[in-house]
Amino acid sequence: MMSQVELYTFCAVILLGMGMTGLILNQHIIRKIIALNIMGIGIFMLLISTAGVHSGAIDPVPHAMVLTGIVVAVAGSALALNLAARLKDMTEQADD
Amino acid sequence: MFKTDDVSAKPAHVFYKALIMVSMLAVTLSLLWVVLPAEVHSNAVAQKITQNMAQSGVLNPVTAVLLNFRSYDTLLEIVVLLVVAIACMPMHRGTVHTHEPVITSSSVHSLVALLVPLITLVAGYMLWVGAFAPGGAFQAGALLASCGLLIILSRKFTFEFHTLTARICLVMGLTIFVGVGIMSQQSGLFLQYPVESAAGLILFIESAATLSIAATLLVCYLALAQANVRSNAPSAIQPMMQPAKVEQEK
Amino acid sequence: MPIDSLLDHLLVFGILLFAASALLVSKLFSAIVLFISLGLIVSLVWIRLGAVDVAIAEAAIGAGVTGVMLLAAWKRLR
Repeated sequence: MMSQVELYTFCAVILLGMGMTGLILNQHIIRKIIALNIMGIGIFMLLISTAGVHSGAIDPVPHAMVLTGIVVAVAGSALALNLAARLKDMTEQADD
Repeated sequence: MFKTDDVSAKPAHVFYKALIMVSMLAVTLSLLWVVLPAEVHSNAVAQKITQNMAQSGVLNPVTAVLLNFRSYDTLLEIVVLLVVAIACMPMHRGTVHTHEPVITSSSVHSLVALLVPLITLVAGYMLWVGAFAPGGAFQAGALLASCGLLIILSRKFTFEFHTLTARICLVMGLTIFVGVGIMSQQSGLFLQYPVESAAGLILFIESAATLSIAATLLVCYLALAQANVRSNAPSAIQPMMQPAKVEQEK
Repeated sequence: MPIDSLLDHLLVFGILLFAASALLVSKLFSAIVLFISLGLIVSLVWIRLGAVDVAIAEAAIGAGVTGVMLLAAWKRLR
């Protein structure tokens, strides 16, 4: 139907849109973090699918950027989850 | 924010939800219209990289880009990891000393005893092979962190992050990276490795970074799994004994 | 349709299905498990696109460590 690059670019933009909608419309904090990670997966797919456009050697710079991006995304998710847990602890203590 | 989703749909809420969904659909369709037919990638940088691979000291182009041509980005990424580790560090000393293992099945118990040395071996291999095949420091660090997670979940063992050894592990990646960068300033700019020793320096930096990444991921998990003892929040690791400090403060 | 293109279309269909399910399903535990599976399918996509380093990193860090932290936080926030 489409070439490989076009197919994965399409998938990446759809993932981005789904992630944005999920981020705004969900209420629970863990669902928001899942939606944020899905947006991240979409952006990485966009970067890597366009890296293999030209035949010949695959461009390694988007691969390196996505590798950095995955590690920073997991660090950001960890920070967000820890902050949510501490916020819950503090508001629970305040309720007593 | 912590409650599960609200099932009742008031008319105003339905209108706003529909409005948000329509606008997100519009944004997605306009992105599709822009991105799909565009010429988004030029090959100039890739050709320069293949021409200069001999000077980088490694054979894998992704490792060369990560640790030689764009090593500044990797340095700042390790700074980000350190900042997250500091922010997530559990606040109370000696919060949970021992705990009940989460996985109690004995077959999983012995499987973990087999797996942990093998995973450590594979992590070391992944670190070494990053120079000439797909691999590298981040993958090796993640494998070591998964070793630590297996131990925490199936044994009465936990990592205490207020000791000096743990803090040295957390900081070592950044320190060695910046140290190598400053010491190789003699041949030019900051982080410009001399060409004949580039391979050895890259392996040295990657080893330190592996330890740091594994330590950071473990700190983030432990801060989530060990609850604050003063609150009654449920935690993934149930403490077997409460430390005496809690009774004195109540 | 050649088998490569069929595999690509199946992977993309699977990704969109799993992502939509992870955001829409009602139990939170199922959402987290679907997110971990999504990470593993995306790891296959990276191999299809020729990025093997990224595939190893996504399987270990993106699906593995993020999934474990989400489960620990889910237990903590109940």
